[in-house]
Amino acid sequence: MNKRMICLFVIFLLCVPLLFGCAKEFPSDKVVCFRNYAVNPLKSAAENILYDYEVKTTSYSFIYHLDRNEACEALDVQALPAVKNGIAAYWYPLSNATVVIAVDRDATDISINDWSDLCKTECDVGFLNNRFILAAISYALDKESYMSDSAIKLLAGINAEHRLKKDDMSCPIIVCFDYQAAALNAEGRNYELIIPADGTLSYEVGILSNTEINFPDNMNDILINCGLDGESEDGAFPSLSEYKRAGRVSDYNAFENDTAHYASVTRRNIFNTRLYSSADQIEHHMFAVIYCVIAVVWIGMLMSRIVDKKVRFLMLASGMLSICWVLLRYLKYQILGESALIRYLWYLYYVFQLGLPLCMLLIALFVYKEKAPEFCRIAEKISIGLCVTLVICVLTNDMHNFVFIIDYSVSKVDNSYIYGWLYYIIFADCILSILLSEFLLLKTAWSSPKRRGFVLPMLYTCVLIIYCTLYVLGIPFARESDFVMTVGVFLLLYNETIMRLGIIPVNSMYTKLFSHSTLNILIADENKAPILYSSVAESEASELSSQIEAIKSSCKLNDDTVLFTDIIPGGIVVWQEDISEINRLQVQYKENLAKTEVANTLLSKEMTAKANLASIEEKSKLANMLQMEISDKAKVLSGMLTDLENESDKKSYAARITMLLCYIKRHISLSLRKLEESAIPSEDLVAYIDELTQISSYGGVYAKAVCDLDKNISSDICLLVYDFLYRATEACVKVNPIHLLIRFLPYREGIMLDILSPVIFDTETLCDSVFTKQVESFGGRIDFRKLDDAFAASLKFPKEGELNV
Amino acid sequence: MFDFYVQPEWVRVMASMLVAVCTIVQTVSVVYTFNVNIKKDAMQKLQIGNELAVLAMLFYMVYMIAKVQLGASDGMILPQEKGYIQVMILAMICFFGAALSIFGRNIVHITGVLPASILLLLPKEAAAGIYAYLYLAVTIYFLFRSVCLIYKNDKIIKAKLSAYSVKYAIDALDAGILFYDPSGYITLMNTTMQNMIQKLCGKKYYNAHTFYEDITALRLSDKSEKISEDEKLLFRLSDGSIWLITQSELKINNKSYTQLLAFDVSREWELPEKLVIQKERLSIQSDELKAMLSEIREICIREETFKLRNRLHDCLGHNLALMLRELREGGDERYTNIASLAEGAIKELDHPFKVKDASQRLNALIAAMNKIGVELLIEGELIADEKIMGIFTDVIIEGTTNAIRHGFADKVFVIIRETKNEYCMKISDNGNFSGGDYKEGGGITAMRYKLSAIGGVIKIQTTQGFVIEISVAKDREDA
Repeated sequence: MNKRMICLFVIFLLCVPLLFGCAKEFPSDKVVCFRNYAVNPLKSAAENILYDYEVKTTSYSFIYHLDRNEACEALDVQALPAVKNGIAAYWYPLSNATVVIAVDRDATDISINDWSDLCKTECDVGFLNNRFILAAISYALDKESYMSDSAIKLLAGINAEHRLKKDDMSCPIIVCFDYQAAALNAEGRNYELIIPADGTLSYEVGILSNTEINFPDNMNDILINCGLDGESEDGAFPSLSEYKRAGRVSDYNAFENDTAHYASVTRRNIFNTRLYSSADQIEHHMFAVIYCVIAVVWIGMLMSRIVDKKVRFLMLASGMLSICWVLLRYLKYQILGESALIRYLWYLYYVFQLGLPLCMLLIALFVYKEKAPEFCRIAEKISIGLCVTLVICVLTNDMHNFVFIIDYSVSKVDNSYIYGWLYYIIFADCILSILLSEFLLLKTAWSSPKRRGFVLPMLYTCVLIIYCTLYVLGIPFARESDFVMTVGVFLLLYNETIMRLGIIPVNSMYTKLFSHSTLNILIADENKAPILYSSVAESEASELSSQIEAIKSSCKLNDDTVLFTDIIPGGIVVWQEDISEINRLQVQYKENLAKTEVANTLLSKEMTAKANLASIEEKSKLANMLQMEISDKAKVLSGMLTDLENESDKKSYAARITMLLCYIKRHISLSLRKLEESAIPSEDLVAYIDELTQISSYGGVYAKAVCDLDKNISSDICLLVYDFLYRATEACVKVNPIHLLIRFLPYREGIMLDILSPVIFDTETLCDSVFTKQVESFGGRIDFRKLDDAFAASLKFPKEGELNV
Repeated sequence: MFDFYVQPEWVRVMASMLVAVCTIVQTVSVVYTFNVNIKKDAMQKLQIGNELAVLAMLFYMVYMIAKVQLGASDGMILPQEKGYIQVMILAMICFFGAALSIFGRNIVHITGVLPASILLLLPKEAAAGIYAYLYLAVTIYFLFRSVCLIYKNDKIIKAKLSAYSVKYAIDALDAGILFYDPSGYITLMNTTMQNMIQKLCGKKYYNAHTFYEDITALRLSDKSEKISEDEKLLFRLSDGSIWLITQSELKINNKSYTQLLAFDVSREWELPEKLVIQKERLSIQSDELKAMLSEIREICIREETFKLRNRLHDCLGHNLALMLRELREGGDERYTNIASLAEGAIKELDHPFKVKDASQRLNALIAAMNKIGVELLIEGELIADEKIMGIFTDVIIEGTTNAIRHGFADKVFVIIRETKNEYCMKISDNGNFSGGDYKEGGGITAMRYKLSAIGGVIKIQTTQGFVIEISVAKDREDA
């Protein structure tokens, strides 16, 4: 999806110039162009001579016009080599052109004799900015060269006093061609034309053409009338004797070679501009190509250094954008003339001007993503959307003029536009993107050890923002510089700095660190021959390489070493891992384990011994307790067994024996349960009572047990209750047959066992003093009552009956 | 170069753009040549030299066209220079081309010499009228050459060891590797280490000192943990893998660096993992033993009390049940039996902790049953395991007692079976239990308790009489 969008966008960019028209102009072959000097009488003369030609002014060279089949003004130093080399077919000299000093006598009466006198005045000096003027001064001051240091120093000195005015023909003193000064005088000015005593240069000025031009017969008269014959005696020009001080260029090659770097020399050495950026066509070319070469090398280094793929891609995109921007500028400045193509090439600058800050921002957002993923996702979409929208706005500027308000009537676009409101939004977008990316990067990498170095990228950003602002405001210092190259250099420095400071994670020193690593690693070629190895692997390299064949992905070299291999393009990487530490940990673990096992065994043995001992002691205790609990009853039982033979009512007696055994069983059971639990459910006790009454029925005692309790009863009380019931039942069996009603009831907060009998109870049997004391020790009481037709024996525990429910 | 002035403007622009692009492409080619070999041997140095000479040549061509453009824009026909620079460039191209052709035994390297010679040395007169075309042809030739070289080197880099191989090798490592300088600045870190750090600490680091401090102070992500007990840096990451981190110092050109290595030792850690589980178990066991040791007397009291209660319940309860039956039947002989049963019970009380072996007890049971007219039929072999058979015998006694006492049965059937995996026993009777609910007393509860100690289960069926079924697995833990 993204790729498709990018393709569509690129196609759109390519189509824009076609949509809005930048077709080739079809020139007329009847055009003559003259220099666009402030004063150029040659043009007015031509208008009188060449009736059927269109006469135009131009700022371009004759080569540009010859290419368009137009005739053009030229000087002999240009024209003759051009004709000689077949560049132009016809040369029509029209007039002499001598470089003079013109002094406005209405403005100053200063005496000027030679070139050095220009330094002695305080008047402004108008300077026709072309190589022919400088060559004349140079020739005068240093006959050896057409662009001498002394001439440059002279003009630089005047400029240092802020008196040198480029192409200004209104100054009190002007350095220009004689016919220009004469033309000014013809317009009413009062210039004195001075041919300096130290000399000057005279040129021939004329028309260069590839097609033959037919001049009228009275051409010379017309030229004289137009004030063009410099050596005429009409007083408009200096005298012929003065003109003798003027020399002529004899060696055109020397002239061309000497003045080849005129543009850069005047800009730098005279006007102090373009000190740090390219100043002429050669420098424009060379600087651009050098920049591109550096950027390519930087990108080459970048590719292996950046760890994150996306950051690597964005850095690559950033480098490519800066290269393309420089190439675009390189192209634009080679295309001369004015056309929609140039305008659209200029518009295309904004693809890069907006794209580069966007790349910076996207890198920062990617790095910052970990801290605020949602913010980064939204910011990414907004910034891309905004960038695309603004680029479209720039490319469609001809339709709305919101970005640049262009005066299309003026031929040179560079001088005929002002910024629209949308331009300031674009500018703000760039600045905000840079600031935000800087802020996010610094915030993310604040923990970097090279934090102090953060001042550098901050400084770059500040300088860049100030520079851009000054450029937009048109401040000469910034405006005269090469914006594209300056921004590109800043960008490279900025990106390199943030990588070197660790703001963007990068890797470096691969080979050095690899070879010094303590990791046992080597790289072998296709033939398994070791090519590069770490210092540790050096001694074993050949030995290891012999084993590579046998290894698939990993194998154990020995107990403490594992050998790994992985295929890389063109070879194999082999490394060893020392697992001795793991083995040591394993041994340590096993030892700890064995120790724990031994300790547990000891504990277990100790426990078994203690358990056995406790068991023996406990058995003895329990046996003693058992003996104490049942010895009396066992004796009674033994006696009863002996007496059974002699008893007449054997059934009743057998029932008593069974009851006694049952009592013994339950008594022991309750006594033992007392040791385990402090309370017993009432239903268990009732079951025991039922069991006892079931047996007693064989002895003729028919008991009906009623229970209204559903609670836990203290084990001690259970024992007493069961004892009391057994005593009562046993006593009744002796008097059988009899019916009993046994009620197990709640009593106040406790319990009550109520036994109703038709016969009176033997109180001595039921409650001897020991039993009574036992009952009373648990807060209980034994009552005997006489009812209407029965007797009742009650065992009551008012408070203690309910425990631990 | 005068020929360019007679050419249309677009030709000059095209030539200028073409040579600029060619220079850029040649730079790419130099970068590729620089990185094509892992070690820079003499041949590669010659190749780099050759490519740099071609680059210099292209720079000169840029200068030439720039000069033409300057002349075209300024209206000056600047003459062609012939100086030492051209000769030097050509000499370099010739030298490297020849050396490469000789040592590399491939004549293709010298093919750059001819176009360079034509362009740099051809007299103006000889080239008049065709120089611009020559220039364009040479540019295109060098562009084509650069593209071919890039393509060739790219193939080599992808197929053979190159300067990028170190990067590939470091990134291919399963081990994480990180180098940093004394300030903590990370000089090199591979992707494995990057991913490991992300999983271990949940964030990216810009300072290796901070990372090291965090892992030593255990400031890790929620799901990561340190698993070594000592100072060793052994961690379990959020994905469950185990990583060992080691640190060592390096000295490179008198500057010290620190190297952090991270090894995935999950596979090697597998055995200790089992040991850890075992250790945890032993530790729990140790704690339990210690706790039990402090409560051993209490436990013994409970244990012995419970055992004694069960024992008395078994023998007295059994005798009592028989006595009740006799009492119910009535008759002098029965009453005599009651006396002897009571006597037997009293004798049992004299030795409450003495336990006879299973066969003796079963024989005594069968004899006692026969005496009171109850038939106990045991089918199947007794189980050899005394512990199990002892518990089975307890169950038979309890089951028989219940059958006689509550079901009034006079026949009790016991079937003992041993399968491949378990021991089984079924107790049924001909009593009058007619099905439905029954109340589980101390007897059945004791049965369950005893069986649970050997991993056995008890099932009681009441649909067809009162049937007790028990089973004990052979591969139980206490076996």
